[in-house]
Amino acid sequence: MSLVLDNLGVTYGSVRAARSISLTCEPGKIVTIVGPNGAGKSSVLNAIAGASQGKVSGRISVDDVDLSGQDPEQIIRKGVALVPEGRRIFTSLSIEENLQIGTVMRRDKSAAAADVESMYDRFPALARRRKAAGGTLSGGEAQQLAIARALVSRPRYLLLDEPSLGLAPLIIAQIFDIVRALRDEGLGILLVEQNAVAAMELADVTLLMLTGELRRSSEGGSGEDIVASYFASTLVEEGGTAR
Amino acid sequence: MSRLFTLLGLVIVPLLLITWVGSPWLSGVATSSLILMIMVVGLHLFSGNSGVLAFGHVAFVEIGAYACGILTIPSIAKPAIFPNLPYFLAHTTIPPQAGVLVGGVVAAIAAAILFFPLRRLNAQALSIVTLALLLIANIFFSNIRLSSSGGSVFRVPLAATLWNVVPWLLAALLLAFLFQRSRLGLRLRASREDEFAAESGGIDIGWTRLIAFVVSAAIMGVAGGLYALSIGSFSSADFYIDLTILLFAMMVVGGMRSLSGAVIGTAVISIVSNFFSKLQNGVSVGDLAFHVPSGTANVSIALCMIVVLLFRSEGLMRDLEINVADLWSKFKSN
Amino acid sequence: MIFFLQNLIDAVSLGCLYALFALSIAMIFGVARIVNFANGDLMTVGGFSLLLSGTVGSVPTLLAGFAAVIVLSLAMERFAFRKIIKAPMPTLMVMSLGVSLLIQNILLIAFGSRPKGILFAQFLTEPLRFGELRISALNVVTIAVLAVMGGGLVYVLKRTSVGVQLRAAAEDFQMARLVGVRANWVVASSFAISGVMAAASGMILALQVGTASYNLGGRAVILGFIATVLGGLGSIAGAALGGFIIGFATVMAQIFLPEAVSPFRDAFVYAAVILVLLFRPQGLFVAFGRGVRA
Repeated sequence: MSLVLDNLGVTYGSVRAARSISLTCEPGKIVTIVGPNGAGKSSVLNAIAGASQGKVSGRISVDDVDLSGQDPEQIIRKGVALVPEGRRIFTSLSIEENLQIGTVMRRDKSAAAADVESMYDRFPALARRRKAAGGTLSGGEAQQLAIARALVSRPRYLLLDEPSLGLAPLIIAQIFDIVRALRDEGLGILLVEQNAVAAMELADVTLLMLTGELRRSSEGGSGEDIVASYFASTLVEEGGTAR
Repeated sequence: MSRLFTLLGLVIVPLLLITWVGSPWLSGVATSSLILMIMVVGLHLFSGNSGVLAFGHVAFVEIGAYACGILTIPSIAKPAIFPNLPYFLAHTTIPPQAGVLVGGVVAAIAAAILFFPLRRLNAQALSIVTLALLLIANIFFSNIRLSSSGGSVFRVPLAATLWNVVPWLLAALLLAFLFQRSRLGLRLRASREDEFAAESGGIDIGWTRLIAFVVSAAIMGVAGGLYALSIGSFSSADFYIDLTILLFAMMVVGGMRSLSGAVIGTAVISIVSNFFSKLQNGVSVGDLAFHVPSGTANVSIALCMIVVLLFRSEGLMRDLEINVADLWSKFKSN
Repeated sequence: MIFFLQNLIDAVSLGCLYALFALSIAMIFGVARIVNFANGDLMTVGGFSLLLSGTVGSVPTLLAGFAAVIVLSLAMERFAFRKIIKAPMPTLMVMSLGVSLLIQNILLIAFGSRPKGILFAQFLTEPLRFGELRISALNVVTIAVLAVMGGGLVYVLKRTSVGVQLRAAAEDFQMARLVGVRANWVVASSFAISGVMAAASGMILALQVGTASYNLGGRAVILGFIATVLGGLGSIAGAALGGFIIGFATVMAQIFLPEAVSPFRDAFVYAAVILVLLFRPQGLFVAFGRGVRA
């Protein structure tokens, strides 16, 4: 019972952004993909969520249900929610409306309304300014709203694309605390980050992605060894002086 | 180069057949279709390469028609028929072919003057602004009082025949072909894909579009002159929304990004439309005479557009060009 | 003073009518990024529906008219646009030209080219008198219709689930899908709402002219577009304001332009719009950067 990628590939025209991506994300675990800019990490998340602008090959399945080729609005109904890069909250909608729109796919309307209320408990910063327009939020608040919006759909798996982007370290720590809490509540989380250090701390499994492919660590490892050696190798390449 | 010859051949061969058949109706229909084809080639040169839909482009056909029409009417009768014309225009007559050329030149000058302040607009605003220009041109030419009949022009010599329109079409195709292959064309197509990226790459979209606009307006103006010479009388209503829709139908059905598409789209729509027009006018089969109601021809054009777009939304040719060399090598390898 | 008030009401009324055109068009453009030229033909159908009033009463006529236009609008979305909804804007625009040509000519075949007289709510042609002031009842109705429809639209957009989905889709269509908004459903909703506005527009137009003809909505759809671009692509309120400004300016131009130039009145208005776009290409009411689908 997990989110499984089997030989996933994403191609934009003649450019292969990702190839042979195979991984498993279990409920109650955080799988982190780290890697430099342009490695193809976002392409993978977008492909899972059905938002890819390119051609997607391979198999994506959630709890043995095949998601490949489906529309985004169907995928979220199967329990996979994306918090995209740059948050993409609706700036012309209020905080309340941003949350409401996260519930349109819920059939159980009163439970959904209760979930919206519970978001205000979980994210007090949002509760303070329910009617404020999304465009007036700070980076950290926007990130919280984006996560909350995804959560009200009661997903089983959460895809997070660069949540730390543009945020101050203190805020990043807060966000990551929230992510940890969500993992403890049983959500399966697939996290993509450039900020390798913080992400590795958070992760149960770390994967390194370079130019479209995953570099696996040795069997059973949590992956930190491979990431560490990657960063060491890049330091050596940059002029040969250890810093 | 074989692409160019293929294109030219594609046009000339059917025309040779039509001439050989010798039906005046068919020759007439072919002549007007060729004139429309020149317009579509002109429209494609700008809109196909730049991605900017110039909704108002028939304004340049109008300008060309008025310029050519007025100047080619024999000056013996002109001052009497058109009392409000300025002296120079009323007493000058030029030969028809020169008139066509003048139509193109005047349209090009107008295009240069009008587009210059607009060259930096984004694609959507530009589309609507060209439409607004057409609306203004329509009001202008409807309301000027050339004679007691308002803005209508008539008594233009009927000098356009099938084989003196053909050289103009070939010239237009050559011009469009060369433009497409030139660096200017390449830059313009780059801006079509992504305005920002092209500008960052150093392409001055404003000037590139301006040149394309002026060249395409010249072609439209030439078509306008030929139109005037083929029909003898016209007014502003001939160059308005109906013609615009027809040209876009032809361009898009053929494939907006392909020059061969302009030719093929015009041919397809022409054939369908003229077939139904004939039926509209009445046809006798043996003892039976029947006709379809007015408007059927347009319904058929509309259905062509809709069906082609639903099933092949980039148009029949997509962005490919017909090339005998390609077809020959495919044939040999099979 | 009387003269001024009468002209003011004329100007406001025409502004309201053009705002209605613009709303109809901006609804679809804002959500689905489709420039729908066939909108004018929806208006024409609305106008033609008034012909029923000879056979059935006024209220059934209105209901039938609205129903017919909404159904036609939804059919357009389902059969002409849905399959190619991901195509680039020019393709969608040209498809709408095809649909427009189709509807217009079907109407032409069905009803002939001569305009048909309308006998509906004759009382609307009577002027209302307030002392020395004479106002056309139709003008008042136009203003009222815009107020009601505008108000209704605001209510729907701000207070209903549909409305929130429409606004989200207008801002970021893909993100809306990612949170679960059904693309087809929200696009169809925008077509339905646009249909309501188009029906009302067509009916008012037909009453103004007194007849229904196959190209009733032709000019209206062009005006609606120009208004939408003037107001700012993607801003529904901006479009309504753009339409209002153009309508208002048209009447004002009529009053203040010298006699000799007055046939060119519309040309002046269009030229003014071009000038505005030159200085503010993104439109009057939209912050730069928004409004064009990436």
